[in-house]
Amino acid sequence: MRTVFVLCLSLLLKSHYVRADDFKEEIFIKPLPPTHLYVYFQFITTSEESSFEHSHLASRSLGEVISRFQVDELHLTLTEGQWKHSKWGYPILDAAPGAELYAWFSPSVEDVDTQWRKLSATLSGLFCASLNFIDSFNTVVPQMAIWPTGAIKTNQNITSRLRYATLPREIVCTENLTPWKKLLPCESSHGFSSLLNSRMIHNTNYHSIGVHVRKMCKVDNCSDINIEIKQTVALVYDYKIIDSMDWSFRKLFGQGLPGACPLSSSSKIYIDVSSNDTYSFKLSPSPNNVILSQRGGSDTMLAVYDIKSYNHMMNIGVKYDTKDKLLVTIPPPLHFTRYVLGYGKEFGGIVTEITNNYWAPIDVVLLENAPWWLPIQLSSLRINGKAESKLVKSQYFSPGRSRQKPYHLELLLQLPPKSTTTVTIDFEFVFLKWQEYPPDANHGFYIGSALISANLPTARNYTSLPITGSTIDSIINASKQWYPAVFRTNGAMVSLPTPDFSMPYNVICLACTVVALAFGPLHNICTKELVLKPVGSAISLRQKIMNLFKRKKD
Amino acid sequence: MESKISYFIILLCSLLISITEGIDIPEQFQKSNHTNNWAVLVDTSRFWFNYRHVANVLSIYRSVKRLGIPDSQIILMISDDMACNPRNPRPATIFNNAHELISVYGDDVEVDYRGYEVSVENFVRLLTGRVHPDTPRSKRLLTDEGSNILIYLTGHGGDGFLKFQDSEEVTSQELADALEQMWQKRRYNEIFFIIDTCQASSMYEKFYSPNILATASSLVGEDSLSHHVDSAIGVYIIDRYTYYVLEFLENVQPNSKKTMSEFLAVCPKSACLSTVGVRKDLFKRDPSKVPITDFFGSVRPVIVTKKPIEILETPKRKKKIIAENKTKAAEKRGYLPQFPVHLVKTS
Repeated sequence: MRTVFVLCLSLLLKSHYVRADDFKEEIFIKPLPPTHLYVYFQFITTSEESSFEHSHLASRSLGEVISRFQVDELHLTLTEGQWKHSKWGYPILDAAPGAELYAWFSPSVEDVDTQWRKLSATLSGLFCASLNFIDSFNTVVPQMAIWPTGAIKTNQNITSRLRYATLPREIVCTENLTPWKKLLPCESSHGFSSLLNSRMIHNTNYHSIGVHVRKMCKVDNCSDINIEIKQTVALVYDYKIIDSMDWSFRKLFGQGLPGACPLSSSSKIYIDVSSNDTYSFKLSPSPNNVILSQRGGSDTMLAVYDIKSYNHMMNIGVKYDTKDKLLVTIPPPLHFTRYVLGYGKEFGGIVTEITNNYWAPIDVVLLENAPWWLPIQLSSLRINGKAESKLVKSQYFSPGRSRQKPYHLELLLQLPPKSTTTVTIDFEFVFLKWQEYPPDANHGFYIGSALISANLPTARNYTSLPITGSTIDSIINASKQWYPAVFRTNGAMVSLPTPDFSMPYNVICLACTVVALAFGPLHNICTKELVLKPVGSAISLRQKIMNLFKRKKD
Repeated sequence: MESKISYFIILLCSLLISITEGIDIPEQFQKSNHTNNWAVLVDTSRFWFNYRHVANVLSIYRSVKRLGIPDSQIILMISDDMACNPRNPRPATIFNNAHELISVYGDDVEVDYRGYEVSVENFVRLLTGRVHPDTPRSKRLLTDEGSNILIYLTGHGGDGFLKFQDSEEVTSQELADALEQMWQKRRYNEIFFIIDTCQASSMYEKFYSPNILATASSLVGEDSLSHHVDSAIGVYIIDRYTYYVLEFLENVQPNSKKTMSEFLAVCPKSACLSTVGVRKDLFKRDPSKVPITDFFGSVRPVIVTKKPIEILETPKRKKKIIAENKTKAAEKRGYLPQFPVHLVKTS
């Protein structure tokens, strides 16, 4: 009896111990007809807040950054390429092109700006990215667009503790993926992360790696919290690059799946097979089960593989029955585009067009973030060509300051049903100082993307996880009243008035030539006297010849 | 008078002894007494047509990493993104040979300074250690007086300068002063300085700090030339000097007995088409007796002990803080709506 009790106790303790630290890996694959394939990896490490330093799964290097700088919530993404919302629908997590970093600091932090700079500098070392270029001149404090996804103390002002910055020019390559993989418990040796070969994933139309840290409620009443570190990779493959619509792990990642990470508590692959009805394909090997998820009026069929039960090399693939059919994509309820207006090097404008395809109005927050060298004036704001608009429900504008602060505009808009709303704001070009031009100034200057935070009434094309969910199975039948999402528009590029840097040299050359040309005649005029030569009577030809000889004699 | 003569004799003897000592150094002084190895590898050129400079620097990176210097002790500076450049037909790879046998970029590369971060200011700050206090560890040269540093520079240069990113340049005098500052701050034991650029030897002529062995791909008045072009990539993919250096280094193993003088003679004029310059006068040891691994490899001091190590004081955990955390966690937490719903409702 006693031994049984001890055994039970030890089992109980063990299960508690396992629950304290947990690692899950998941892949979500969705065809984006007709020409693309979306592959999304997420690796979730959860650990107790108090035992974060003693966690055996969560990365210590990241944990130290979080606790040292007292970060409540952190989102970092490094992205190459542009997600095409109108064609591909919505991703699980959207990301701005280049580097994007935003974080909420703990209420105990006194000087958030200093802490923010330190955090970005440290992360730049951790992820081999130039995040140390984040400073007050490119940081904004979003007022309405971004909200913490984690469980936070609700009675405090959260907005003042948020900082948001993007580096649209940042490149993403192997050197970012390498340290990212080293944060995982299995690194890249086992499990799903072994599929992430840099040669294959950088050969895609869109790739984005991310780290998202938040605090999650452990129980329903939120008396206790866990820290969730979610590492994500989003890839969009082009069927043209992989040469056919039939894809397999070998084609996508250059190798098969060697099995699950031994440290993970769950390793699952979800494949969206909803398009199978219209455009039939066969999965091989066949999935463990197929789940129907009804969410906000849209049905999704998910084929699920539980990799924990396999212990051999797997090559999951899809074979289409017919290859000549073209699918018409259903556009998502909301899509947008952004472009730069104007010509010349004096004035210009940024236009953001947001289209609401839905039959009901949709509320969105638009965040425009213009760098200090592109000053925008609130007086030039026009919505559908008019200065005054009933669509604006709330507005926030923070003017920039030269070399210190960017221009930041936020609008809460109610988009009427079945309409396109155009938001235009004018800017003027600014001359930079000699040393402020980058080495490749003629390449152009990047403007970061605008943020569009929407409260969608429908889950059409919506794949994001509900806020309380952590794993992909939380989207199954997760019907809610609203489906909030934050989207990033495409970035833009302007060419600032760039001087010809070889100009001083040219000026010196030209000036010297002019001086030399002017100096010669002037010198002649000043030093030589002009004397009138007496002109005699006309001389005969004979005399002329005589004169010629005479001169020669001299 | 006698005392004066004896004094003179003593002086003469001591002079003689000092001269003989200067001529041949005892064996134990030939061995390096460095305790750690660092490498600073810099590519200073931007733009796609300078692909070969990135391939140069990554070839050296690959070799020092293979020979044992860990990534944490390699400062790699690359001015432009060649691997994931849209013009690169094979993303995430950089090849230094048209046969494309080795991707020098590999799967495990850590670039410490990249893009616009590679500037003269950052380079000099890195060397002298005068970095911003927030600079992360991976962007600092944390060397000490026992460090052997390999400095490799490649890019476009001229007589007395090396261009950075086509917009600024470091002069040979600035570089010499930076190294002198390092010496005065005891930031190195010995430096091996390699530079692959046009008129490269002009960069080390101004050096005046001790314990520096320098080599350059060309003398003043000479150009350093590239090796060959890969028609699939469309540009020249490696410079001659580094090509032969890599060929030599690929045959070096961590336990190899090859010496620095072999390294200095790696590229004869027939192969390089430029004369490799060497400066030995600041270096106290004989390069023919210095193993190549003194700079390209890494010392790993291992102390073998048979006794168990006793830790006298076990650090006590701060229980108070944990208790405080628990009381804090009791505060009401919850998820917020992801949209300013309150603003919509009021309007």
